[in-house]
Amino acid sequence: MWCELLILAVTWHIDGTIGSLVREDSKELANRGYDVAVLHPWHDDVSVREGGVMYRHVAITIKDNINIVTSVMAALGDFARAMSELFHERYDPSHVKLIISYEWTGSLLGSLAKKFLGRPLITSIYSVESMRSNEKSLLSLNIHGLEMRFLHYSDLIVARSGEAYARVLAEYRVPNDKAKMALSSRDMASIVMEVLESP
Amino acid sequence: MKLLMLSWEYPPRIVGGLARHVYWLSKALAQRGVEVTVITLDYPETPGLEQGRNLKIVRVASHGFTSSDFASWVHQFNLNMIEAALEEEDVSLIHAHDWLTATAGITLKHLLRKPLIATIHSTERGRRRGVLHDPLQRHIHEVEWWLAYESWRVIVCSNYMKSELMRFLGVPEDKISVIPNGINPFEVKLQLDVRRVKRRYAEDWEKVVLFVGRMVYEKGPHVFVDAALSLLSRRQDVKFVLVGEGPMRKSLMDKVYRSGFWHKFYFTGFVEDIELYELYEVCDVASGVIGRLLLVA
Repeated sequence: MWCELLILAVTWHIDGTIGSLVREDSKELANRGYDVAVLHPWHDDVSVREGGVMYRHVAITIKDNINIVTSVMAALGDFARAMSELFHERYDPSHVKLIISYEWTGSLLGSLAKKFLGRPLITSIYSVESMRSNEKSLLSLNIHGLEMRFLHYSDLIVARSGEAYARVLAEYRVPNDKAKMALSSRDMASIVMEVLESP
Repeated sequence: MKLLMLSWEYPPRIVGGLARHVYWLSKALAQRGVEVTVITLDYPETPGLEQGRNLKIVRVASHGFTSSDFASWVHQFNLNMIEAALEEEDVSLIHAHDWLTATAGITLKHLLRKPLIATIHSTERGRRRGVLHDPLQRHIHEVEWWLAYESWRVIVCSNYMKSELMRFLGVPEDKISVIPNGINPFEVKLQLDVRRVKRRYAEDWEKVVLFVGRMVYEKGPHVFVDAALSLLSRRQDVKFVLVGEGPMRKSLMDKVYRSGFWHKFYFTGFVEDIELYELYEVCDVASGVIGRLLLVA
């Protein structure tokens, strides 16, 4: 049966710190009555329901990669396959109200969902490239460029720490009214509700 | 019927033979009443959108973003292609050319739930003589495999390429269609003074042997040069003209210089179409896509 209100979450990480944020945020939103579907890479292509959240695994085809950028970008087709199945067999695409993506990796894939579904995109940022690396390598510049592109493509940025918030504003020139800070999943869920309830 | 064609090169952006292939194919389909949208890369001083009868050309940005490597650049412009393609309505079929547009082709196939066909003009394994040396080459090989796997049909331009796809990518034989590249004799009607044009390259008593292709291993310019040097050791009434750019050009020029027969060769680099047609007109033997043909000639 198709649900009435769906939040689609897209992430490249389902383990570690980012994975915990994804799981906690989704659980919090599910507790508030939203149907949440999480797309994330895995070794198979099945769906698993856990605590009111539907985790749609995305099997990744291309295994030989050069770096994280080629890994994520080459997976666009896999995420498209998963979305296609999700919105053909499980959900009516018009029921999706919002897309949440995690980090630049998720926002790259989330931007595809935004373009396809025509729904607002919220990007959660735990860290930006300059917080992770001091290098000025080409790869680092590549990631910084992608962060810049997708932060500006997002409708709202939610920083998950004070430092991330400051850098999003200063380094990426995201306007103040497009950036918020959420230090907990409860804060994040409140921001999401605000967006959903806004006209 | 609306066809979405994806190609990284389209005139005036010409890297190799792909641009001409896609140009003539899209034009021929449009003439037959198929609505064709070609999504390709930008080119200086060329409009981002061209709209003709049944034929629309959309050029997306190939620059403006940092790329750490070639594959990252390719995937990033593919993302731009996907965004442009999602603006198109009522697409019936998607046609991707080579791995360079595979990401866009596969993504669009699933999002739009429309069939994908691919033309694979060459394979990475073929270009690397059967051995994949580094992560980039292995990545490209895997993307080629995926493109062939996701495609409803795969088109190749020769039986040789068909066997390569079967051997290297495991494509079933009945999924492959062989459609040789054509020539268009009506494309240009030249009014030439053959002798005058020929004298730009050779004496009247000399024959002109022409090579046209990128200076890369798979096109065989080294085979052409070796054959030319062998021939020059036996007879002197021949001039060799090599048209095309590529990484092997300098080493081949060095080889020719060291042989002492440098005065018998012209390495023209890239030439405009009109000069190419003139060369075809005046040459005695032409070697096209496969340099090995020269040996037969």
